[in-house]
Amino acid sequence: MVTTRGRKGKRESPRVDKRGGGKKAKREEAKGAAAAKAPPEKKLKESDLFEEDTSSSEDSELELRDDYGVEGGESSESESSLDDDKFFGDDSDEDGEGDGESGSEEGEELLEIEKKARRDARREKEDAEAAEAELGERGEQGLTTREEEDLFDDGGDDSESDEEDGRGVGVDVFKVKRRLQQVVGILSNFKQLKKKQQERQDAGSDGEEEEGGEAVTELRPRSDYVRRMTKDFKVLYGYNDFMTEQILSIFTPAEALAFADASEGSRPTTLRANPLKTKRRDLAAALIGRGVNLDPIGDWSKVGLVVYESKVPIGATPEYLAGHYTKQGASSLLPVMALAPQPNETVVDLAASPGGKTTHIGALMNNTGLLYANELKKERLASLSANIQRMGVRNAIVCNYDGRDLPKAIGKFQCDRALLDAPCSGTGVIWKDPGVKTSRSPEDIWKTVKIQKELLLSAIDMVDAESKTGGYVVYSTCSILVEENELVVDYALRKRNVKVVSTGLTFGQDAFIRFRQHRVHPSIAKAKRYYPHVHNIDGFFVCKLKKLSNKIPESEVAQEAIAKKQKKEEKEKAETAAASGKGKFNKKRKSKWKNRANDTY
Amino acid sequence: MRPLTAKEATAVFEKLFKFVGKDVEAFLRKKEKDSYCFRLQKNKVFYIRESIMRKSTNIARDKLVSLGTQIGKFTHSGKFRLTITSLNLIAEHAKNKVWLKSSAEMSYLYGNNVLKSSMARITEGTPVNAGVVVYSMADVPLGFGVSARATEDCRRLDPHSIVVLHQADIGEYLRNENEIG
Repeated sequence: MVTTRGRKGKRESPRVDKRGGGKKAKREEAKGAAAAKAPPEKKLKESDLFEEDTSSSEDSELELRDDYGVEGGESSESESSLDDDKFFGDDSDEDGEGDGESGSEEGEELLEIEKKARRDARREKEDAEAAEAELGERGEQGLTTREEEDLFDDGGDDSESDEEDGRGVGVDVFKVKRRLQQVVGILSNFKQLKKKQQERQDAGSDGEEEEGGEAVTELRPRSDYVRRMTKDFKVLYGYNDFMTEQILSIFTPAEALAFADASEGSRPTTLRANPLKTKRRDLAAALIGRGVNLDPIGDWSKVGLVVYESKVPIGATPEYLAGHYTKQGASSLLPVMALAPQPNETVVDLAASPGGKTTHIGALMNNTGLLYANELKKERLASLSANIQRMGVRNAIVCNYDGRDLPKAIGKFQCDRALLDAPCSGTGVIWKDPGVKTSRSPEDIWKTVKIQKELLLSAIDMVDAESKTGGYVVYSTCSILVEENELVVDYALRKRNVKVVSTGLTFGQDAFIRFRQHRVHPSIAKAKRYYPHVHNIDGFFVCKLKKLSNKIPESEVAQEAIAKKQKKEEKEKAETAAASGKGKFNKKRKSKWKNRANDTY
Repeated sequence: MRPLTAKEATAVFEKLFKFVGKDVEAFLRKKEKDSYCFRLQKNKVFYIRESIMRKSTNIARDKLVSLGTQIGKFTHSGKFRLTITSLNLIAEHAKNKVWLKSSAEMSYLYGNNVLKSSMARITEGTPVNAGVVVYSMADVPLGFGVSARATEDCRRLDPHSIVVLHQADIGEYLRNENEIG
């Protein structure tokens, strides 16, 4: 378990969140801890900079050791043998490179300065790990009575009011964060903890009391922790009920926390070089000349560049204006790579603006063939055509249809490939628009899902299954919600003769095939999901479909006929109702539909 | 969308002639088995491959925003203006060129005229009032304008006098994106 000594030292130090507290707070904490203990204790690198004291490194490890010792699977028996020696021994076994003893062995061959550098690097790493791990792992070992009280009793009352204030007002953010991490720690190891508790109970309660008041209380039911976590999650990150529920159901507690943290930060600026005008290497050289610090984005893309820092505005260099590159998120390279358009094909992009993906398609087609770029929103058309012109794409037709009407305009089965980067709730790009946290409701999602389904069917309808080179549809969203992704694809699989094929992307997590009550077609696992906390790109979903036949499945034909008939009947009914003077209701309804047609997506 | 009338076509070709000279025929020549054509949509003139033009006839007039490369637009008074989007086309065939010193690039991209002091090179034999394409030292086309002086006069000019009058520059993609699209 835990040394009484170590724990006490920590107790008496002021309660400050290690990561959030900043350097000053850290130093204070270190001082406080030092005062509490007989040997001067230091655990932080900053204080090390000021005093050359070699003994300090050991103490910093002591902090870690508390936790590692426990992690090493010492359960009830080890609780009785809690002398420091044991701990030191244990720890050096576990992370052998991480402590002073092994350092002194190497010592002869190294210069003093080298030793110091190594020590510093090690300590830095340990500090970071410790800060991350400490709270979570303390959760792992179960909580002491006092902490348990912290979690439920004093948090319980004020959290009600916290929710109303939303975020932060009168809430100790660090405290909530700390508490949240503890609970998440417990929840992630709930099974083990339960087992341990069982063992403890079997062993009898005498052993625990010998420890002197640091007894571990009984675990509460899992639901208690879940409720606590949900509340804190909402308070800390400011999501509404619906979004909290969604996020917590998609991710494990620990992942949800990582996701929310990642959604607070921003993603790196990325560029796409335009092969129609330049080569990536030349572009990189030109930009480096302007004081931009950049690198290729990774092995998976030949055109992507990631910008670390720039002295000039990256969206206003002469190279940008000349169309040598465009600014776009790393995630928006993925659907086009999955689509893999070939020269001389006919490709349609149903929701094109602002043209990042469209110009990427144009570049891959090398200005041959034909590219339809459709965009519903009038105010976004200007930037779409300007970008297409700037990037030197000459094979594009920009049009302004509702994507659902597009098959009527350009005809069914006329295209080789279709890209639908569907309008979505934007839950993958919360860092760009934090409003998503509070503004999304189930109704919004249903609405967008309906549009997404219709758009996907219309995309599929435009593609010709007999195409020699293509017959593919790529569906992507910047949403992480299953409703907008897997379920939409599943719907399309039922409604049209298509199958899911591999996206050809080398990374990303497989899409879900089971989620809560939903069971989707197993082939959907070939689709890819991307998360900000895992891949450091926007939350994203990419699915590639291959059209098998232009025919619509027979069962669906029948269903559609029925639906059509019903619609007709309804219309007739409404007409007769209107004729008989009950027109008011009908009118209202009509206007509602009219509004819906104009609805943003 | 419709083909240009004879009058409109003259206006367009006269303007292009200023920049590319006799090479203006090249715009209508077949390239790699594709023939190209000019089309007017609303008040904008587009230069497109014929096969694309045919496909675009399916699209309703009010829904068609742009196609191919936009060359320019007709003003209310019926005059034809080249827009910055035509830069790449005319740069391919440009007769008269001016290269800017790298220190003067940004000034030009903010819409200023080219001064003698900011000019690095100019094509030999550029007459007065000819169409000129402006390049950066890295041979990236930045815009176009009209020469205010002939090449021979340039040598004797004082550094502050204007050599090329500004007509369009790629900075417009930022400054007035809405008028381009």
